[in-house]
Amino acid sequence: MGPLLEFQRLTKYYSSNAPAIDDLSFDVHDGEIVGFVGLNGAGKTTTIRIAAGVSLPTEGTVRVDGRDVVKEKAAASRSIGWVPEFPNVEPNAKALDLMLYFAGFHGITGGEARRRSEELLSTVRLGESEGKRIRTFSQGMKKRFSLALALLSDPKNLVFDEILNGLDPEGIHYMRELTAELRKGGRAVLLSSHILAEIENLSDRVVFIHKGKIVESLTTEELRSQGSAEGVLRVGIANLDENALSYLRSFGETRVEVANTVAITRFAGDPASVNAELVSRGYAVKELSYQRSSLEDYFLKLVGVTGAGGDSQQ
Amino acid sequence: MYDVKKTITSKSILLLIAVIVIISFAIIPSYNQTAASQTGANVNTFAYYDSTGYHFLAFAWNQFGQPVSGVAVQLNFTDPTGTHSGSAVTNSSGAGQASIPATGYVNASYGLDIQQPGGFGYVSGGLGFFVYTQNGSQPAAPGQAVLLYGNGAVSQVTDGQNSSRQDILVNWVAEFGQEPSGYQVDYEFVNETSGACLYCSNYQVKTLNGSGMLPLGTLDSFRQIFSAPPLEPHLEFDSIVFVEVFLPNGTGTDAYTTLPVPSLYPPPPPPVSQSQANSYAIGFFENIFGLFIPLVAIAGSYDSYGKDRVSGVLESVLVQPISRRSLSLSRYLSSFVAMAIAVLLAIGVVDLITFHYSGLFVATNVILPSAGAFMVELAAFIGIMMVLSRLLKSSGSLVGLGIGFFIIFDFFWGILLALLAFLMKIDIGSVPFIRIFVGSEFVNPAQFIALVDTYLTHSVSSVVFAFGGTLITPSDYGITVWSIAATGVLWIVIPLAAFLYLSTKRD
Repeated sequence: MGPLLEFQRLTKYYSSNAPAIDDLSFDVHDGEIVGFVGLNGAGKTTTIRIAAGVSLPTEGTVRVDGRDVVKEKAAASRSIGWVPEFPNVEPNAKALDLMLYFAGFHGITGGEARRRSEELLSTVRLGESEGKRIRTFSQGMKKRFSLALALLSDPKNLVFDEILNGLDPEGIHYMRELTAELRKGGRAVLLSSHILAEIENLSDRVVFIHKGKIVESLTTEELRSQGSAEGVLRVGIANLDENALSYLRSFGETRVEVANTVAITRFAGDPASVNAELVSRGYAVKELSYQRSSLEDYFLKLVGVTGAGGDSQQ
Repeated sequence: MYDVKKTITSKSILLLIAVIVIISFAIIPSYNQTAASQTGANVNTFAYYDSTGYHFLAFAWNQFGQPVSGVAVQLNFTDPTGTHSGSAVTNSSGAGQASIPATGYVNASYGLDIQQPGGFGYVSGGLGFFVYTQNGSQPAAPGQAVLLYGNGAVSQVTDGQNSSRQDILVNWVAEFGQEPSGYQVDYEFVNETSGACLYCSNYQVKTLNGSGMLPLGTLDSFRQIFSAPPLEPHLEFDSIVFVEVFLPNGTGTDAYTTLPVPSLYPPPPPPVSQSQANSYAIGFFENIFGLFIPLVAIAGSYDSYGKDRVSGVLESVLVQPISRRSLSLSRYLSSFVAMAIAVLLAIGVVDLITFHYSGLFVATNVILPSAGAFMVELAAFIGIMMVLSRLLKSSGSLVGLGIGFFIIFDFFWGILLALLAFLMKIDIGSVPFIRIFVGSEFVNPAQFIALVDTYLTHSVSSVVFAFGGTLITPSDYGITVWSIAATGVLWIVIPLAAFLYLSTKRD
């Protein structure tokens, strides 16, 4: 299992000040989905744009299937698909026309180009919009269109930048299925996202980046073993009263959120038994959710901050 | 090549090509120059007297015989009882009339003042109400209209449909100011026998009784246009057409004139010479095409590269299997090829129009250097625009700076030179000034066609400085084939090299 995406001592300066990414090295192997996690401005997008060939590194290299994205750009680009955070394609073009245009770069022409384009647009639920101009698309539709473009040449490597942003639940579900398929198909996928729970679900490995440097790289299993058993329990009670609150406080620190929902942080108990107890006391439990935020906790601990933030230059 | 083909066939580029080709039709006016338009209207003022006073009618028309409104005519009649005044202004039919209450005398003298709409006017005066015939003058009868002042009852006007033809306009007033009806207008060609003059007695015309004359038409209104009669063969050079108006009963009137044949039947315009055809083409290329080429190059390169670059859309292409150099070159070439095709098509259209009007093609030694100069201008401005696309971050600044370049290099270049001459205290048109002027053609890509034209015509001209055709020896000012070629190569290579460097080495 050799590396398909190799990042070697990658550095990028946008100005003479601090580097956006600094001496960054890691690999993504075939059949591996790698989550790329960092605060805003950490350098995720810069790294992905260099891998996609749309930005130049100041130093270092990215190799795609062993080909340098700068020196062997055309060959490297043949094997990589890119979904940017904010897809930006010709707004006045019609979706299918644009697919056919880009297919031409890969030597896919004529009936084959049309068949493949229509199939992909249908897969990303844009089949009925293939004759519409891109400027009429919502952000989510643009994201799905961009995904179809990235898959057009069936590349061995894919870099997804915040691909889950702007997708509806159905789109996120599709992404879960797609990544599973890509893993099965031996594809190398680098995936950045702010939705850490999804990263945890989708990835085989997570690379943490902070202020342009790789601070940790762990498999999902390693991450789970390092994470806390604690989580956040949210309980929505229609007839919430002081007695119910008092009961819930016994599990940890509570705060009342909107619509009679109580969040218990650092919850370490059994959510099912809490539900059963509340029901037995005559409370109408309309919602109960438990989020074991090991990745989030671990990440925040790793970067030494208690919330999102950071510089932004991308 | 795939990207080149897609870019060239985009709708906006095709539209630009169409615009450039359409511009080439602007050379047609060079071959379609009509006679200089006349500044003032022709005015005839008729008058008659009766027992109620003096009455006058004024008619005004332009060079085509079309009515002119707004001409003011003021008349003063002086008779034994005093001076009597009246005025009239021509209406949309080109006619105006007025009556001046008085006793009315045949020997009243008049003073006339005509004011044209343009502001200028003229005055006249004399003894009114006398009829001038070939038998001498005689007092007019009461009610008999006489032409006090004007262009003549019979005159020549330019045909409104075909400006190379002339028509005959007859303007007459019947008794007591009535509109003529059933008046016969006859003509006769008369050879000039002595060749001495046109309007002297050498013309031995017969008695004006209509005998032997041919009908031109019937006059049924105050003012009527008749086509010139068919030209008779074997006429001498200075022959004339004699035209006279006859009353319905056949009696001649004093409405007659002689129209010179050379004037009434102007010869066809002389054929355009090869040097004229070349001159028209050079003037058109430098002043019209030269103005638009930088603009279309800026627009074309913005459309094919600039807007995609600054909006980020180009990244969706850059991620495809194409090298940065190939993508940049393909966009550069597609802009250049599209605009070059358009310019060559337009030059071809100019050549065809020249042939249509003159039967001559523009000389190859004008067409080829001009086409080459335009290719250089296109390449230079496309390259400059693409360099700017790499340096600027917004469409607004890119478009703004592109238009700014166009305005400075094309429109205000002459003014900048004038300012420079003023600061250096150099007289416009002097040798040092021409040296600066020619030098500026080397350093401005928009003036490259002017540089080539200076070489071709051995002259410099400037609309801004109102001097034209100042003859020079090009080599005295450093203009040689080699210096032009070297300048052209630099204008192509430097912007392109800068663009390729920026697009392959910088984000």
